Amino acid sequence: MGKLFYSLIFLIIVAMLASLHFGVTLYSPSQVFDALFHFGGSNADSAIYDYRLPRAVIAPIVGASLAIAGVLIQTLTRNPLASPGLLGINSGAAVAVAIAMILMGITNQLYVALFSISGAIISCTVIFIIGFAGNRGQMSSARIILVGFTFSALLYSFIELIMVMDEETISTILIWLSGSFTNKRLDLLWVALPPIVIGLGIAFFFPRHLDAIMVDDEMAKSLGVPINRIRIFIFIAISLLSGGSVMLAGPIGFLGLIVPHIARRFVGSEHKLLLPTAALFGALFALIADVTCRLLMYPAEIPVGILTALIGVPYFIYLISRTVKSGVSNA
Amino acid sequence: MPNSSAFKNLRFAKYSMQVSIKSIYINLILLIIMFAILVLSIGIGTKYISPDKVFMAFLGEGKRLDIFVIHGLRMPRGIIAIFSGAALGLAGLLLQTVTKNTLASPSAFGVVEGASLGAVLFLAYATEGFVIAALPIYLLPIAATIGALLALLLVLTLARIHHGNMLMMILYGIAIAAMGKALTTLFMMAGPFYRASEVSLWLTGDLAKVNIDEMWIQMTIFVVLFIPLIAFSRFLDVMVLSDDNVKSIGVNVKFGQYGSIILAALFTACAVSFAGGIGFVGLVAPHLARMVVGQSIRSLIFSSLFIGAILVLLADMFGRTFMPFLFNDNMEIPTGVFTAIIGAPYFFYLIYQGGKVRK
Repeated sequence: MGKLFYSLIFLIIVAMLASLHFGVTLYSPSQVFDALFHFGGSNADSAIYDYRLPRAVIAPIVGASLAIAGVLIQTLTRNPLASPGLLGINSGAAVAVAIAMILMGITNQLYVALFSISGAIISCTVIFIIGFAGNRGQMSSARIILVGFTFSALLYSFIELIMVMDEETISTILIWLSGSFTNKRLDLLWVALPPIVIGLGIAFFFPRHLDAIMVDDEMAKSLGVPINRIRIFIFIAISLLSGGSVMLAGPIGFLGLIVPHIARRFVGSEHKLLLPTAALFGALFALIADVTCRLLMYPAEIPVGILTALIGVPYFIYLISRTVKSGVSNA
Repeated sequence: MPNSSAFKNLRFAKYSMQVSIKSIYINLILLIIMFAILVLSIGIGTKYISPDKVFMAFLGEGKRLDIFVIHGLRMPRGIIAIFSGAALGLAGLLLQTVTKNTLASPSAFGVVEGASLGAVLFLAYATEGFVIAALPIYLLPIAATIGALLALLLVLTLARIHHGNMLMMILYGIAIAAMGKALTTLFMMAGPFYRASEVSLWLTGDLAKVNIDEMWIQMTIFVVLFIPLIAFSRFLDVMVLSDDNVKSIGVNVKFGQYGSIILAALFTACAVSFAGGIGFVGLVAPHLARMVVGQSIRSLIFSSLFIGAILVLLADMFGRTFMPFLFNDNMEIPTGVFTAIIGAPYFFYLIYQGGKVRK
């Protein structure tokens, strides 16, 4: 396993350098090096420092936290199709941020972060109450996806309402809503990082219990796992992670769906290995997607969320077909 | 649950439009309610026109200004609201009946997103002054229809490949919807900048900019689509039975299923291309219809139609009047927002109930 981790870390570093290097203007490796270590205040220096560096740092953080949120949510619902995007948790955070920034005109990033996280918590609660309350804790994978889809549709109509209220901001909101690492400042991390770190901490705290929950409630109970308490912790971790990452980069879909599956292919579904692998893959994936977005329609740039959706949907379709075959879901 | 009326139609009434007297009354009442709301909604606006004057204007009498305002501006809007709602209600009814799943709706099949994508591509790349071709705006419905049909075709093909049951088909629909949404956003950004706000407003479902020509076009399309629907009603009536049973009484299941689904896509496109992506009407209207007239499909067709129309009319009326009356602000809330606010909680209630029953 060590080999896999090292090569992933190596690839992430390469991708980060590529992220500093590629863009509307190409900077040579020496320029990048200068900007990072001998900051001189030249145009290239400040461009790299102000625009490229934040992206190269924020993208892996967002990727890792969405991937972990995806693993947690797939474990919690025992549903290979679940993800923070498809269940509407990201949209919840996004609506909260839109309300805070556009309707209430809040500029203090701390409050925006609080809004984002509470939006995630609220939508997480709603989804789980609707999804499970009438179903004794079990729900077919298709149904919960349908609930999430409808919930997102409701939330998006709120966002559209906000957009109508303030027509000048439409194109900005559109970019932000599709998920993008453009024009982010590093000081966003001061408010977004603490919830993400706490969320990651919770996620990594009890891998064994997660394994047990993944298998069966009864078995977990018989092994002495305090299921309900752990559920609540996972629940909080998911909200913190997706709230924090939405605040940083907007709702980026399908990352939290695909990455856990990729990671499972490499290390299996034991959470002790799965969680760090998923985090690394998530970081790598987000970086690569971000760089690709800049180059795909050069010199224009497409939001990263669109790219992840275009890649993610075919994979999602593949996952559905596999679920059909294995007969996991017969609602 | 096959109920008695379904059997009656099966055995004795091959070609009749047999419906119970009670449901005829109910449908008549719904029709009257629809017209009452139409008259009221035409009257309400920045300039209030009382219902009797609206009637006069319908007949071409009364003050000139009233006639102008009503014929030129408000009536097309009201009528388009009615036909869009009706088309969505019917599309929802068709999909729910065919999939035997009361959670099905046009948007969960990717149909709305497909139509939106078609329309956005058309607005961004084929209207006046910009790139590929300069086509007249009234061809927009065709673009939307093509988009809707393509999306649906994709969903159907995928479901066929994997022999999915109908609920899994909805999952494919959701996937295609996500794809459609991403592509729509992509083309909105890549297209001319000033179009973005127009397009996004249109996508939420907006009736503010309709005119009388569009009204006539939509009415024609609706009527043309309604004829095959009546022809399908016999098939739809037996869909409460299991597929094998349907086959055993000599009905071509595949033909009926695909035909109805395609018809549903066409109805959706008929609504979406004039009124934008109004959500949740297709989901809620058939449910409300079932509440008032029961399971007989022939009564359901008419009551879903009327209820869909009433929902969109009401949403449009509230959307126009909410802000001006409460906050003295001239903003209009898009129709789709109101239908979502009413529709989504109802959907969750359905899921919740469904879960309880299944215990």
